[in-house]
Amino acid sequence: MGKLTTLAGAGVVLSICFLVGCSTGDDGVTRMIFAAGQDPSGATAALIEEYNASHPDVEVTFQVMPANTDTQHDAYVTYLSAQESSIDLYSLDVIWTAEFARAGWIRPVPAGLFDEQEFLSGPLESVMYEGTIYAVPWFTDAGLLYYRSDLLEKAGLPVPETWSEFTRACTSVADPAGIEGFIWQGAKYEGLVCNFLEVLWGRGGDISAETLRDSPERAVRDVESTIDFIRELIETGISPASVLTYKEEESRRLFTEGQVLFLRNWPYVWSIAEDEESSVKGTIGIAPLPHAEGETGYSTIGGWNIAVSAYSRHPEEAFEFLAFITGERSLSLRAIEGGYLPTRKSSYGDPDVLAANPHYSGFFDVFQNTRNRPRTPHYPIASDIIQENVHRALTGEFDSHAAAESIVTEMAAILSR
Amino acid sequence: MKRMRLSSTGLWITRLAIAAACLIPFYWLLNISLSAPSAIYKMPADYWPRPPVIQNFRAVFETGQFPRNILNSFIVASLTTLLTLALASPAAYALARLKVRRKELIMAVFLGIAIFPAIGMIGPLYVAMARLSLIGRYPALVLPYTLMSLPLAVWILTHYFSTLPKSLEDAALVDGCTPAQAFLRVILPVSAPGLFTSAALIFIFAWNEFLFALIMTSTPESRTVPVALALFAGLHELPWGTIAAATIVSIAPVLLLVALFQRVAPPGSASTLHGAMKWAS
Amino acid sequence: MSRAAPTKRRRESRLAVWLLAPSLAFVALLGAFPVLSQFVLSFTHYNMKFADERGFAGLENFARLAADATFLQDFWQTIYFTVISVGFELAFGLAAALVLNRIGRGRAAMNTSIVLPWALPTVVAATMWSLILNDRMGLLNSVLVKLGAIDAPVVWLGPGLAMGSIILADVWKTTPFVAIILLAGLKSIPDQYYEAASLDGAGRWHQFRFVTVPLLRPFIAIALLFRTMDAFRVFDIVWVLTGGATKTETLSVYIYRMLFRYSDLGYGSAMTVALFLIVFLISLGLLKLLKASRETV
Repeated sequence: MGKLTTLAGAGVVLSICFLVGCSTGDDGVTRMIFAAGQDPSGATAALIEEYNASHPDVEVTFQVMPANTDTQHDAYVTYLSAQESSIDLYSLDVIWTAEFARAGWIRPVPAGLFDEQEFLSGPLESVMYEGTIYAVPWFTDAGLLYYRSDLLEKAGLPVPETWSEFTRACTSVADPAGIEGFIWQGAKYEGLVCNFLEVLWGRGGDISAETLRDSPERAVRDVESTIDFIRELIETGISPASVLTYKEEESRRLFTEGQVLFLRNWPYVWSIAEDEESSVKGTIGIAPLPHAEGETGYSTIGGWNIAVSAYSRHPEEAFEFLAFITGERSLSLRAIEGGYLPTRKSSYGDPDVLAANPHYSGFFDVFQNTRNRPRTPHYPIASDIIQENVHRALTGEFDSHAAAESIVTEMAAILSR
Repeated sequence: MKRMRLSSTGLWITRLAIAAACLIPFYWLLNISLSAPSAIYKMPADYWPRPPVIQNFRAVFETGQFPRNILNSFIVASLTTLLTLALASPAAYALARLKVRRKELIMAVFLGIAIFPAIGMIGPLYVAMARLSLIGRYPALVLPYTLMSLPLAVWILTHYFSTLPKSLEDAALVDGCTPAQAFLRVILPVSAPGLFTSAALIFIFAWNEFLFALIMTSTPESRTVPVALALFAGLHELPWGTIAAATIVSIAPVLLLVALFQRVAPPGSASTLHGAMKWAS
Repeated sequence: MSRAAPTKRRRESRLAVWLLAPSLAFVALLGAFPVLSQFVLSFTHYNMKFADERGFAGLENFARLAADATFLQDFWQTIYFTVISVGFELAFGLAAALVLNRIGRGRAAMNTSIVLPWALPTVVAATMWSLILNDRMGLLNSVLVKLGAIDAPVVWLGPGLAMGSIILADVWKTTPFVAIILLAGLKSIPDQYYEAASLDGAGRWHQFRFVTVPLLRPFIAIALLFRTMDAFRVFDIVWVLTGGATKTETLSVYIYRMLFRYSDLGYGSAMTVALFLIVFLISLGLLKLLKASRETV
């Protein structure tokens, strides 16, 4: 056992050795770190390499983070609250802008860094907080309706645009085929907020600060009827009750296994569904989400922006790099190599982008009618209020009217803070 | 081993049930890691991969980073285990065998550290590690992990040392050993099962920790296994086949280690104890 | 002997100080800062996003906590989770340890296989269970349908069943932890005790009752104590499987929301402190209980 203590002693000494820090030499090179979610295609790393090669006095390092939103949020909040200066740029989920801007963690983008007209309106709106631009849109995401074109064709039905056409298609096509009518993301998490708001907006309702302030009764009525409508989808069997436990992948798998007529999901599903391995390859289509008679359907905006840290020691160089990485060519390359949806309108006319992603033309139509989730520094609380109340109302734990009332009063309190 | 003889068939059935409960989810993980992506979600499920494919394992090693991540986990877990045992075993010896004032208070302090939720400690500890410019280095993980596993080690070892007969050191002391020598030469050797138990629990804890590992490391080369596993997931997509393969690859060294422990660790303390007593008298 | 006693005792206590100093110094150096900062923060209003509105709160955070219905509900759910999962883990862990302790051939293989669930990273284990428990494509329903035990797929993560499923996953994952500790305890019992008992004519049950249980008690206490503390802090399994839906939210999920999602350090720290005090009291209670039961044997 003498050996064990020696070994232990060696371990302690070894770990103390690591305490001796290494210092970076002053060679006139500006070193910056860009923290963002994993890009398995390698396009981001290639772009950074290219940038470093053409800027000998700058060296940008890509700090690869897990792609998961919560994981990145946990890490970035820890870094920024410790005023970490080594990380210069962060990728931010579209729902974080107000939060990070209010905290003073990110810098306003200098005027003239990019032309606002060139970006899609939804993502552009997401980088603003109280009239100031705090980030540049990087890639986007929006809710889509996937459908089985083969089954609709066989039944001689058009792609439904309104909810009544939609439910009719479910009962007349899905039921006889023995598959599920409509699958979406109903688990208690951020995805439920997106799904819920889409149905609410498609029925002419909304929970913006103005509506909550000026006509709260109307807001309660709209939220309540939306919850009732979704509950009816489950009660009539158009959606199975288990949809309330599904996130993106659970719902996507059922669809690519050929067990679903309609799926609400993000654009990422397309390439999986059209893969050789998929059992629905060549038999699917995409469309805007359904809406009520006389209303317009809206998709929730997802996606990510990039901002410069308030604690960066090299803000000028960081913004220069930001302009490059969100430039037209960078966005197109990431679209071609990795399927990341560009936030610039022009990319959707780029023949190379369209050659790699022929389905983008369909997405572009959907992106015309998108909306952001409430933009407030209290967004995580707002999201939890919606998740909590909607999920409980849908599982029958809460009465839909009570749930609607607490959503409206609690949201109003938060948005007016 | 004549005591408490249950019918041996009953015993074997129990053993098989335990093994099955532990192994079935693993068999299923292995099945997935060897299946093509389209076969993973088949309903009814395939009970073995047809045909088995290695594409998931190939994907694990594509970036070339994963072996490095396993090595990092191994180093971090080993250093944590050694440092924890080096700190805990003397303390436990004092608490178990020597006259210590406020013994209960000291035990309670260790317990208190174990109760504190890690999510409350990560912020302050990040600041501390950043000030010491340790981020991305092994101590940034080893030190917090040691703090978190010290209480369990102290408690297990204190109780383990207490079970040993008092006559052990008395004999050594009569032989002219100092109390320190008695601890190193008599108590530690006969406590091997207790030490190995603590070591196994600490090692696996350090191997699997995620939150500190995420926040205290930055470069792909400095990541440990749990974070590397999280890096395989996409924004929405979960390439479960690759993750299953990576899990299998990363768990193999741990199992090898546990199996090695079995070889090194004596089958029970009773025989060692007899030897030690003979030596001590 | 009596003449040497005082110096011997002094030497002994000096040695004890030296032996305890490194670990206590380590805890003080590394642990004091994070722990004390939580206590200090719990008396302030401090949201990282609104750092300009920071201020002293006195006991306001704790008053808010006392009236927080979510905290109360999560508290009871955490208790429920802890009591049931730790209960099963102790029972299964003890059974496994007893069976494994007396194995001859195949010991290494058996011991290695029971470590497997504990060695699996928690996030992977949780994701794995979410796939196994999936109603349409999970292994569990697939097997049960095939066996004819159920006609239609069961929604294991849905209302009513979700907490049970979480407990199942946790028991599977952490029973080995208990078994490993108890196994070490069993190994510390010398064979002579059993031999002596059997010479006295004690049967199997009596040996278990009067040799194994009393000598194993300290190890049962450790397993119970540390499992209770860990179960009270359960996070990943709940977060991955349900996100806290349908009455499964535990206190640490709520604390996570407060500290990380809302960046509310003041109120979040008050919760942490409250959780700390609750678990500390429960631990002391358990220790008292175990001590009392020892005296009655």
